[in-house]
Amino acid sequence: MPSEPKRRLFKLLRRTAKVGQGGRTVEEENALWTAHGRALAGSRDAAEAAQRIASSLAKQRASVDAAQDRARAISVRAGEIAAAAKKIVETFDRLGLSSLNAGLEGARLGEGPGKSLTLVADEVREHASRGGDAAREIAGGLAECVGELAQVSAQIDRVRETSTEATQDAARAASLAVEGERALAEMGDRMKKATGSDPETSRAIAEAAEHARALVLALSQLSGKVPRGIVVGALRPMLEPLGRLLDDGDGDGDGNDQGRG
Amino acid sequence: MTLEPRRGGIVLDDGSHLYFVPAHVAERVAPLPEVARVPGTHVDLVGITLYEGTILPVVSIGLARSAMLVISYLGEPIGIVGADVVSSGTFEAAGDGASVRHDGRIAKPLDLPGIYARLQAGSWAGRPRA
Repeated sequence: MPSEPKRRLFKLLRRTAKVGQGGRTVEEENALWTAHGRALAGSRDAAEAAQRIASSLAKQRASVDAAQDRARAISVRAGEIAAAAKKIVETFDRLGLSSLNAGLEGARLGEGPGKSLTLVADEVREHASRGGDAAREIAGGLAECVGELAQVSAQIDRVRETSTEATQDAARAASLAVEGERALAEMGDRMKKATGSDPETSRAIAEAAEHARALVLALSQLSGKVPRGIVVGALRPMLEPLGRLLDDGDGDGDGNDQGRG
Repeated sequence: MTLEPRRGGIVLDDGSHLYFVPAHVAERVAPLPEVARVPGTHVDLVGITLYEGTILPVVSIGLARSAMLVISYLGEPIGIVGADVVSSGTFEAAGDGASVRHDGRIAKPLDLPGIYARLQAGSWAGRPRA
């Protein structure tokens, strides 16, 4: 390999490993793009998560509405049954009064003719009393059920309010995440203009710089131990393509290297 | 062994005492009606009500308001409220001849003359009669 190309080759290798433009290393630039990429991905994930939350809350709201409708329907039905139970209580009470009047008639008829009427009246009054007590117990139980259902309905209303607030918060979070994503995308465009690079290029340059540094370090260790001619002869098949590649991409004003092979 | 005579009628309970109303005075036990208050009458006169086409004075003997006992005293129908009607039929007479026994307790006769007198003492006494 001619001496001029050899000098040029080593110069290119050292230049690749040196501090980059504006005092910023390629590692720092790559880290900046990596962080930007993570922020953008995180913002997208947050937006998607907020959308999923809003969707789940919408389904939950539908279930809560259905439960509220059922609770109201049951409450109305329980109220109707309670009204019917109250009528049953009134009927048994009237039956009791009728049995008292029957007993009074039996008393008026006298001990002999009225005895059977009085006995029947007593039995009817006893059954009417038991029936009335049972009906009152049922009516009382139903009234408690109606009360409990009213509380359930109130609880469901509170759940609905909370669900509505959570849905609104999720929508706001999704909107903010989308705004954040847009801002990060804009930041990425400005970073491209300011640095003149992009994430993929920055990553490739950082990898190339790492490899170049390793190569320079290895060659430095060989320096003095092995004649340079032997080193160059061994590495030439691999380094000549690298030299041509760097020549093709060399646009930093070091014009001596342009177009020379 | 002498059997105690039996008396037919209605037994009332005002919460502390039992009262007896004979069958020839007690007409009917009716559900508690709507009663219209009459200003200026005796405090025991709850008011008046329409019962089977007749205007009836309603007198209270206590606090209970479960049913009304319609009695006929000296030809005048009167509604009695304030006590629960606990039983009707024939009852074993107690020692004094006017009281009866019911469930181990003595039911004294209801003071019908006193009730009637209270009605007559107030402005109800001046009502037009048919």
